[in-house]
Amino acid sequence: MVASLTEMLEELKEVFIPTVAKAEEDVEDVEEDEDEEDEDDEDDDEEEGAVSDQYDTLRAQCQETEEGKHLVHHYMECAERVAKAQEDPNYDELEYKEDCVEEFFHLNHYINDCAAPKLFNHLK
Amino acid sequence: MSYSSIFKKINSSFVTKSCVATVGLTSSFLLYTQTLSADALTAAEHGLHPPKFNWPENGFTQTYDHNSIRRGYQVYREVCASCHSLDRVYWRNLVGVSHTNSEVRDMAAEFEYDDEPDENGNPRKRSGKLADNILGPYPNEQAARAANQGALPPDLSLITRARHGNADYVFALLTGYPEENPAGVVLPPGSNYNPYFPGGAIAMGRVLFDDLVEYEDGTPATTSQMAKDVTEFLTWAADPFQDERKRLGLKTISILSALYFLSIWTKRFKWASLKNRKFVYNPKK
Repeated sequence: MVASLTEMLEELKEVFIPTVAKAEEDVEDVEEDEDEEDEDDEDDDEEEGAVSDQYDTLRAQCQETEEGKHLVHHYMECAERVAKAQEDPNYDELEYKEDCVEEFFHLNHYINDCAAPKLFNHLK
Repeated sequence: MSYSSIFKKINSSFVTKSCVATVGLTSSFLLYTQTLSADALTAAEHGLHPPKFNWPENGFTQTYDHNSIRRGYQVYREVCASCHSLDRVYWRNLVGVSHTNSEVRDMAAEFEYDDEPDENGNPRKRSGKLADNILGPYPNEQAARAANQGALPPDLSLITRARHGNADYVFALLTGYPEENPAGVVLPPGSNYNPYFPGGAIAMGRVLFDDLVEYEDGTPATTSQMAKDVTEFLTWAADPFQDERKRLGLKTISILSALYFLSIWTKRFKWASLKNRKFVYNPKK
């Protein structure tokens, strides 16, 4: 049970964190599929208690909200742009290289404000 | 006034104005070009602001969670103490807060301190006592830097008071290492990405992982649990008198307000005869 849970969570992470650039449509498809599974995930977590990190669980839930998905989408778009730019052979000599820190901050700011007030109810 | 002098006057004011305009435009253009390349004043430079957590000691009448402090000391000892010192905390401070007297004596005795030299002037060592401070891992700053690729692990005694965001920052930093860095971020060698650290590149790597320590009270040692406990411990270390201060504050407020109302009653009581007196003027007919 625990193993399958962690597997699922890892899959989720792989979906959200790009290793290579994916076409946008693909990403959205996978996201939708994962959503249903993820809801099951969360229920399991609550039943089993403190198996995985409480903060990670809450953050994953917050990421699944409408606002969270919206911000993930923005971050993914930026990540794709950066990955595309990095394919350029002259990438090292480029004067301006984009990074996704701002998108990352917007996403994490939202997740923090969503998850942080609930967290200490789950900790001893 | 002749035409030429009028013309000169207009001309000179025009020259001055155009000079001012040129200087102004040039300097603002130069400032603008800097913003195109410099990383100053970006979100990354300031770091992500930590969210507010519901610490047990938040609120006028709340105290530290002393079970959490005790667990937090364990996390400090087993994890943080390999790099970070805690110079300003003395063993005796822990007595009655997180550990009993005999427990702290045993913990202190495990460390060696410099003793007075013997008759021939040779340095001696002795085991630690309650009056000693908690020993750090390195003898001095240079040793600490040498062991950490030039980065100095800060002393943790006052760390929650020494950073913007206080305890929230420490907790967010400890739990905030992302699985993967944001796309496009380039870090200097030997550093890790943490969004809460101003600039993003921190020499300390992620240190807290699930089940890293085994708590004696059976609390599941998840990453956030350990981060909460160690932050609670460090908050206590930076402000050990908070519980006592709040208790004294409550006492002061309740006694003073009782005295205040008493003084009002006394004043009214003393003045009652004066306030109620009546002057009557009865002129003789």
